[in-house]
Amino acid sequence: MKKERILKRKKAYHYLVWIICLLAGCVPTPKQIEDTADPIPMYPDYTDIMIPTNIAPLNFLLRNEADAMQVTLEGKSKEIQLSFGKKAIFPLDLWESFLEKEVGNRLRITVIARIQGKWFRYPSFYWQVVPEKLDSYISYRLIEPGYEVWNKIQLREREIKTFEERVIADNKDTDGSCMNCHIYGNKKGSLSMFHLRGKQGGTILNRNGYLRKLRLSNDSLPDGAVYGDFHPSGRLAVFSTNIIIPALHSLGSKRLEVYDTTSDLVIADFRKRRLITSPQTSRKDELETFPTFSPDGKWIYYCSAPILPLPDSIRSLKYSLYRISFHKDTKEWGQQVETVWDAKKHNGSACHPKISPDGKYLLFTVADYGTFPIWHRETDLRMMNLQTGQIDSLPAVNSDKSDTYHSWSSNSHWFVFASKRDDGLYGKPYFSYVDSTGKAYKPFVLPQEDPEHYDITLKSYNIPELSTSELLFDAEEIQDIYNEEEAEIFK
Amino acid sequence: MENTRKYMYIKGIASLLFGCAICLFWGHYYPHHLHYHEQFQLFLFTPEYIADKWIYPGGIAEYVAEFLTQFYFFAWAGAMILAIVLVLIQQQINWLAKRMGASGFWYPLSFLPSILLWVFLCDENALLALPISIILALFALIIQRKITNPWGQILYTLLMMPVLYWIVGGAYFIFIAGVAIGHCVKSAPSIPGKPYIWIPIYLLLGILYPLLAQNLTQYPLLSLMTGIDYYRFPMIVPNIMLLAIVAAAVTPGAPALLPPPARATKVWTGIVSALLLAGGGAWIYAASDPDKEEAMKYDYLARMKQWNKIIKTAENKTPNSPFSVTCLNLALAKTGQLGDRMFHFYQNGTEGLIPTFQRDFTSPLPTSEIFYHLGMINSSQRYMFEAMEAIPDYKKSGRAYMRLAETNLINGQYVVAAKYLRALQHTLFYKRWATNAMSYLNNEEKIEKHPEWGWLRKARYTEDFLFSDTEMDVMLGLLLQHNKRNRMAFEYMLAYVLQKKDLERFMKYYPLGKDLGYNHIPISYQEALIFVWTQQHPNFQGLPWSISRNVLEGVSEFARIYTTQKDSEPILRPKYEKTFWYYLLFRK
Repeated sequence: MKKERILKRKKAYHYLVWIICLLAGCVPTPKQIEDTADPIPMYPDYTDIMIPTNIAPLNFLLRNEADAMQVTLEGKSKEIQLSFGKKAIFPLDLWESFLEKEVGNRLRITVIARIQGKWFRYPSFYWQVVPEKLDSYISYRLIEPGYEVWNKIQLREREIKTFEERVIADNKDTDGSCMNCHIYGNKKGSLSMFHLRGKQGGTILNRNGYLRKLRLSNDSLPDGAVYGDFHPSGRLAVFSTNIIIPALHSLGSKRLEVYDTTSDLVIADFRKRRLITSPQTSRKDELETFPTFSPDGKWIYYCSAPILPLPDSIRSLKYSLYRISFHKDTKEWGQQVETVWDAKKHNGSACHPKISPDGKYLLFTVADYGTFPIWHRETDLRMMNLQTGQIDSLPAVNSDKSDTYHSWSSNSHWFVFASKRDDGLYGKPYFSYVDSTGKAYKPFVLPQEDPEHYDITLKSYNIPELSTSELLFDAEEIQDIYNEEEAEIFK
Repeated sequence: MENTRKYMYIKGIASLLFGCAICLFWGHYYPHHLHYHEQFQLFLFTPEYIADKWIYPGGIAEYVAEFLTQFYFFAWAGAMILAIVLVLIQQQINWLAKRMGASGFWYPLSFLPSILLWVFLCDENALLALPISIILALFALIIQRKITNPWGQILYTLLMMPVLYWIVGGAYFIFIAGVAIGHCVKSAPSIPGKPYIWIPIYLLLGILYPLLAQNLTQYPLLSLMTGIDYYRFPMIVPNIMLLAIVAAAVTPGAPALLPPPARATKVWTGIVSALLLAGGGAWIYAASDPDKEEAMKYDYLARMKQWNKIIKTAENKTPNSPFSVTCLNLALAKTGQLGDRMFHFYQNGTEGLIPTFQRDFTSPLPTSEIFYHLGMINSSQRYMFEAMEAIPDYKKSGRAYMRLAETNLINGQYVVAAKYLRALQHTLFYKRWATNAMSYLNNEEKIEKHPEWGWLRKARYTEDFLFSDTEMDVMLGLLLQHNKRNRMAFEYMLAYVLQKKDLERFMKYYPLGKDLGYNHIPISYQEALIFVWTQQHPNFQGLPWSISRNVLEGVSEFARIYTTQKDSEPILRPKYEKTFWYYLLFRK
C-alpha cells in the first residue's frame, strides 16, 4: 500500500505546541484567588459529560479575556495540575495514561483563570470516564455549507484518540466532482463505500483495501444509487434511487430545501452485479428513501411518504418509518410492509433510521416536514426502543438547531451525529453516550488540537461515521480508480 | 569612462521609463483588473495562514504575492507594486547577463521577460505569484553567481535547489537553467576539469524534486512542474506563462553565448530596442481587454456603491454586456432613475437586470449586490457564498466575507456573522470595518439605527417560502407586499416585466406604486402605459394617467412611422432608440 499522507503534524509537534503554550503562559502561579459562581465560559462545552478512555485530549479555551489558566484534573489515581495560556492544550501522552488509570471514575476539573490580572476560580465540573470505548476512527466529509455550488470536498479519516487525520478522497484529484457520504460495513474499515460523481465516477467499494468502481444504475433504474447501507454479510447493500431537487428558502434561518421527485429502493448484489427491486418499495405513488438493514440482516428499515405536488406541498410532505423483511439467501424482498413510526400520528417527518449494532435501539431524526433535515432547525434525534416501541426524545442530546446524520459505535454505547448547535450553519461531530439502560447523555464535540479550530474553519463536518479500524486506501488510490478504471455495470 | 557613465544613465532612464509605463498602464488604463484580483483572496495575518502556505511547493512565494496583492485594494498602490516587481526582474536579468559576460549590446533583451510577464498579467486570472517566484529564483541565481569558490558554488546549487523548489515551485527551473548556462560561459568560475558534467546532474535533480513532491503533496505533476498558484485555474497553463518562464531562464545567460554584431552596433541596438518596444507594446495592447476592464469597473463601482460614477461612465459609453448593464440598472435604481432612464441605455433583457444564476465566481457578484440592496438578503447571501465557493483556486474573498457578515447581521445570525468578522479582523484593509461591525453583534437596537442594515431588516422577507428564480416578478411583488415603502422592489418589478415585454403583468403591477410618493410617472412607465392605451383606443381622450406632452407626441410620431414605413427601424432608431417602444418592437 502506498504511503499514507498524514495531514497533521507528528507527536513532536504536539509537545512543541504544549511547551509554547506553557511558555506563553509563563507558568503563572495563581494568587489571591476569588471564587466565582459564574458558569465557566468554556469552548467547546465539555462540562459534565461522559467520556471514553480513548478520546483525544479535550482541549478548550475560555470565551472571555482570560490570558492564563490553571487546570486541575482530580481523579482517584492522582491529581494533575497544569498551567496554560489562553488555551488549555493537554499533552497527549499524559492525557492518555491518566484516562487509562481512571476508567469508571469521575474526574473533577477545576479551572482557575486570570482575567485582567485577577484570578478567578470557576465552579468545578465533572468528566465520567466510562469503560465503553468509542470506535477508533471517524470519517466525515469536509465541505463548505453552500447551496448548489461546491468547490473543495474532502473525505477524511481521523483517529479518535489522537488528532491525526488523513485525506481519503479529495475532489481536487477527481475533476472537482462531488463525493457523497462514506459508509462502513459492520463498522470496519475493511468494508466501506461512497459515491463519487462526475464523468468517470461511480460507487467506490472498498473491500480489504481492494477498490471497485460500480455503476449502480441500469435502464430500469436510471437515477442511480444515493443513500445506502451494507447488509451484515457485506455481499449486498440497499440503496435509495432518488431524483433530488434543490429549492431555496426566503428566510434567514433556513437555507436550502431538498426534495425528491421520485425515489425507490433497490438492493445491489456486489458479487453478481445485479440490482434487485421490489414492487413494495418501488411504488409510483410513494417516495421511499433512507434504507438501512437491521443488524441481523433480516429487515430493511426505510422512510416513505406519499407523493405530493412539490414544491408547493412541501410542508405536507411527511415521511413515516417502515420496515420490510428481506431474505439473504434467496435475496428476496418480503411482501409485508410494517409501519414502525407513523408520520401522521407524530406530526413529523422521519429521516436516517439507524439501528444500534446490538439491535436494541432505532435512532432516527424527525423534522417538521421533508427529507432534508440538515437545514431544519427543529430537526432532533429520537431513539426508539425496538423491544418496547417506546420513543425517547433525547432531551439531553438535542439542541435548538439541526441534530442529524448519526452513526452508532460498534458497542452500541456511543453514537456520533452532526449538529449545527453552535451557529446554525456549520455542522460538527458530537458524541453521545448511551448507558446500559438506554439513557443517552449530554454530547460533546470532537476535540481538536487547537480549540479555536471550529471558530476558524469554514468547513462543515458532514455525515460522521464511526469505524473500529482504519480504512485501507488513500486519496491517491481514489484518484487512480477514478481516472484509470471503467465502472462495473450492474444489470 | 564618460561613455560608460552615459550608458549607465541611459539604462537607468530606460528602466525608469519602463517602470513609469507599467505604473501608468495599471494605475490609469487597467486599474480595475487590480481590484478584481484583490477581491478573490483574503490575506490573513495569522500563524495558520502562513502555516498553510508552507506545506506545498511555491506556497511561500504565493504568500508573498498574496501579501502584495492585498494592496491592489488601492489601484495605484497595485500599479506601483507591479512596476517595482517588473523593473526588479529586468534589473536582475541585466545584472546576471553582465555577470555572465554578455555584451552591453544585448541590454535591451533584459526587458524581454518583464514584457512577457506584463502580457501574462493582462490576463485577469494571471497571479502575482509567478513574477514573485521569478524574482526569488533570480535572486537565488544572483547569489550563486556571487560565490567565487567553484566548489562552494556547486554546494550552494545542490542545497539551494530543493529549498528554492519548495519556496517558488515550478519557477525554480529558471535557477537550474541559469546555473546550467552559467557553466557554459567562460566568465564563470569553474572547478578544474570538466564543469559540464554537473549540468546533467542539475537537470536530473531538477526533475526529481517535483516528482518527490508528488509523493508528499496532493497536487498533480503538471502543477508541481509548472507552478501551483501562478494561474487562477489550477490545471491551465497558458503559453505566455511558459514563455515568460523560459525567457527569464534563458535571457540572463544566452546573450553571453551570443557575440554582438561586429559593425554598426548602435544601429543594431536601436533596431533591437525598437523591435522590443513595438513588439512588446503591440502584444500588451493585444493582450489587454478593455471590455473586461469596463465590466470590472462597473462591478467595482457597484461594490463601492458609487452610483453616480456608474451612471456617468455609462453616459460616456453605453455598456452592452449584461454584467455591466446589471450594475448600471442597479445604480439607476439606487438613485431613483430606473423608471425614467432605463431605456436611455442599451438593455439586454432581464439578464441585464437580474441575471440568472451561473456557477462561476464572477457573474453572481453584481446579482448579489442587487439582491442585497433590494432586501432579498438570503438570495444576496446565496449568490455571494456561491461566487466565493466557485473561486477556482479555492481562495476566499474579502468582499464576500464582508457581504456574508452583513447578511448574517441583518438576518440576526450573529454567531455566523462573528465568524466572518473575526477573520476580517486579521486583514489589513477590512480590519477597521470588521471591528466596527463587531459592535453590532447582538445589538438589535444598533442595527435598527444603521442607515443601511436597519432599512434592509425592514425590507427583507419575514415569511418563509421557497424562492423561485424563474418568477422574479412574483418574488419582487412579495417583497413589496411585505414592505410597501420598498420603492426599489417596485421599480425592479416593473423593469423586469417591461424588459420581458410582458405588458399584461405591467398593467397588473403598475397600480401598486400609487402610494410610493412619485411626483411624476416615470418615463418608461408612461411609454408603456401609452403604448397599451394606443392598442385599445383610437385617441388620447379619457386617458386616466398624467402622460407628458413629449411622450404623447412621441408615441404618435413613432406609431405613424412604424405603421407607414416598411423598414421603419433605421428611421426610428436615431430619435427613439432610447424609448420603451423601440425596445419593445426592435430589440430581440
